[in-house]
Amino acid sequence: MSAPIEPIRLSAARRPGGEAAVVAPPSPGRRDALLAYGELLANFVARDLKTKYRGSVLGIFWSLLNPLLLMLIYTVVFSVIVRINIKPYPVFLLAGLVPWNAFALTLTSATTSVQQSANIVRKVHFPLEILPLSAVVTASVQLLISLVLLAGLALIFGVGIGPSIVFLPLLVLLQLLFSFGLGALLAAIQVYFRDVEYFLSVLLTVWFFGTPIVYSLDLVPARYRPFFEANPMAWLISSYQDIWFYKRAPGFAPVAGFFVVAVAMAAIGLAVYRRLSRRFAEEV
Amino acid sequence: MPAAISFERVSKRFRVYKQRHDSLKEAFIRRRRGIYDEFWILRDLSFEVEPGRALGIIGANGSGKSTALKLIAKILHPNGGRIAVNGRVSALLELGTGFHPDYTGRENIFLNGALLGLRRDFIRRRLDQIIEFAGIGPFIDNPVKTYSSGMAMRLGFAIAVNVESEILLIDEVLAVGDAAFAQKCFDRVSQFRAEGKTIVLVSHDLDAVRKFCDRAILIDQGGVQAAGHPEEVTAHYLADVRRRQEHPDEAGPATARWGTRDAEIVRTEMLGTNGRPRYIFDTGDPVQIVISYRCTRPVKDAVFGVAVTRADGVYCYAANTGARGIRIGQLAESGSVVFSAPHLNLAEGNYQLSVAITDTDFRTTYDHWDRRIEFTVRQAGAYAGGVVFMNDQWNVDGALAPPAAS
Repeated sequence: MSAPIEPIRLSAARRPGGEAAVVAPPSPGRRDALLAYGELLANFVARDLKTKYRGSVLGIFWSLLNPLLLMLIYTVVFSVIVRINIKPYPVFLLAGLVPWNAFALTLTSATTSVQQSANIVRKVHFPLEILPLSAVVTASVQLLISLVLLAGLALIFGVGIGPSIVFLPLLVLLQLLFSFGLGALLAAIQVYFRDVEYFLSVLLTVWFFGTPIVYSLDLVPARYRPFFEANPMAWLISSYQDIWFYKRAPGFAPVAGFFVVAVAMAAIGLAVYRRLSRRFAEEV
Repeated sequence: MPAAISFERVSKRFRVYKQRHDSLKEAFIRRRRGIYDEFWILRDLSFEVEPGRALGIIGANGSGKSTALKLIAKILHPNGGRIAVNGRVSALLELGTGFHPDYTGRENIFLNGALLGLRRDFIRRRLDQIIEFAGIGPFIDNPVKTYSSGMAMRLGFAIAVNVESEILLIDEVLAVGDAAFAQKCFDRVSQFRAEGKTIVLVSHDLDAVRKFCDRAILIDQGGVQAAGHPEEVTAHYLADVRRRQEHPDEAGPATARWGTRDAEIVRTEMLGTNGRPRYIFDTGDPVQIVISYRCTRPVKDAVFGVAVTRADGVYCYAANTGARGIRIGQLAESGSVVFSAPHLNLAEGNYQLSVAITDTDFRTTYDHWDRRIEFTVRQAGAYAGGVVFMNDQWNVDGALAPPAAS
């Protein structure tokens, strides 16, 4: 048996610095751990994307089909039947619909993210914030793809792309921040109350029609308008419409306002998530 | 030098839900999130492990051993006290946790490694070593869903032990796979020791504790009941088990219990041949389980059930009056139900008996007492392996081969 010899040989080989006897070798630094968990995030995202499109030859196409179909339906309903006087309506619609879909998708998948990973939450120690975060990143990949489609559409309909496009990254970033905060909050509560996801789907429907996406704010009767203007998602969506449809810089007030809301939401969401996550392993 | 692990008056509380309102709607209506008992699985637990030492934690099921391990691994957080852990921890809690079924074994090594906080290039350097250790051959490039559970565990073990960590936590997973692989695992853990790493081993296998550990602690009723040399502590534990066998009414293993208690279990006993309570049986012995009950409300059509689980969690056997087509009708105010079997055909090992009273369609649990009794089965002279004993006979070259007289 070579067993008595092997451990010595291996331990010497592993620590060439001659430090083999030091009982507390330097732990991998914080930076290293952070990088490792960055890779874990990438792993989760890749896994989610692969699972989503696994076995479908058309792959990414499916993620585009839905907004395209919705666009077609809304276009027919609101420019042929109801005749909202916004032209070209498809560009206006998609300018709001694309980010909204990404928002709804992020919240839906973030909300169940902890519950769906119950088996690892119960048995492995890792930064639990990665779970809602990976839902956000996964959805943002799909958002970027849809934005490319939107750009194509803007060119086809002759609206073109103006210099105001430089504000786009800022808006996307703020949107992700806001979705992460709200998503983390909902995910944490979902662990304790399993019907949060159903409340969310109702909320999202109401919220969608309460946000000027299929219509523009000036179509809303003046006396109801303050109610619509108090909706932070309206500030964000109108900024997207400014960029894509009106080809102008988004207003300072809505962007600044949404910035404050997004930062506050992220801070609150993360704080609540961290607090509640201490008992995830027991409750999930 | 600071301790590798130090627990200072650590307490942990769990909730056992009798009724869980896990919907917002219900919580809103009832203004609370369910009815639950809180119990302290650990109470003021203190111990230290010096760097490079191996600590064994023993104790009955539900004594809080595994909870202590999960606290070290930071999966659970204490409700009181202080825990300090110095060094990177690698936990062998449940092997293969987080494997993605559609990924190949190789891809899962990276996914699992990332979960353990390892960088990709680190894993790449270790990849051959891990694959070699797992020893599952060309299967490494097949999706994990095609693996047997043994293969998945081997791969999980291979990843976990190849993490560069200073502290290794092991929970009952030393013996995975066949004898050869189990030997490999033992060797690997010995090697960890030789490398001066800190080990915490939670096990029912007292031999393993004696073999690997410098020190052992016995946890019972949430605290350390004995600490010291593994020989002494394991002897103390065995004496405890023996005492309990003689005085079965002393608190058994800390167990989970739930139900409405409309009908409740007052007492559970396992009886041997002579009608006396026993906790150690030989394979093939007759056995009786006596469940004494009491009703706090009229109960109709109750079902009595028993289940046997092996100490490592393998679900071995379950039976209930409903499945036997027995209609009980109106239950008496108090009484007893007896399960008898002519032969206890379990293989050698440590087992736990759970007992329950439910209604006919199992919707309402009146009283479920999980792992109420621990018992041991010995298989003198005829030990083969597995969970069941089949009372086998062998015919060699046409002649019935009689077993050696025992």
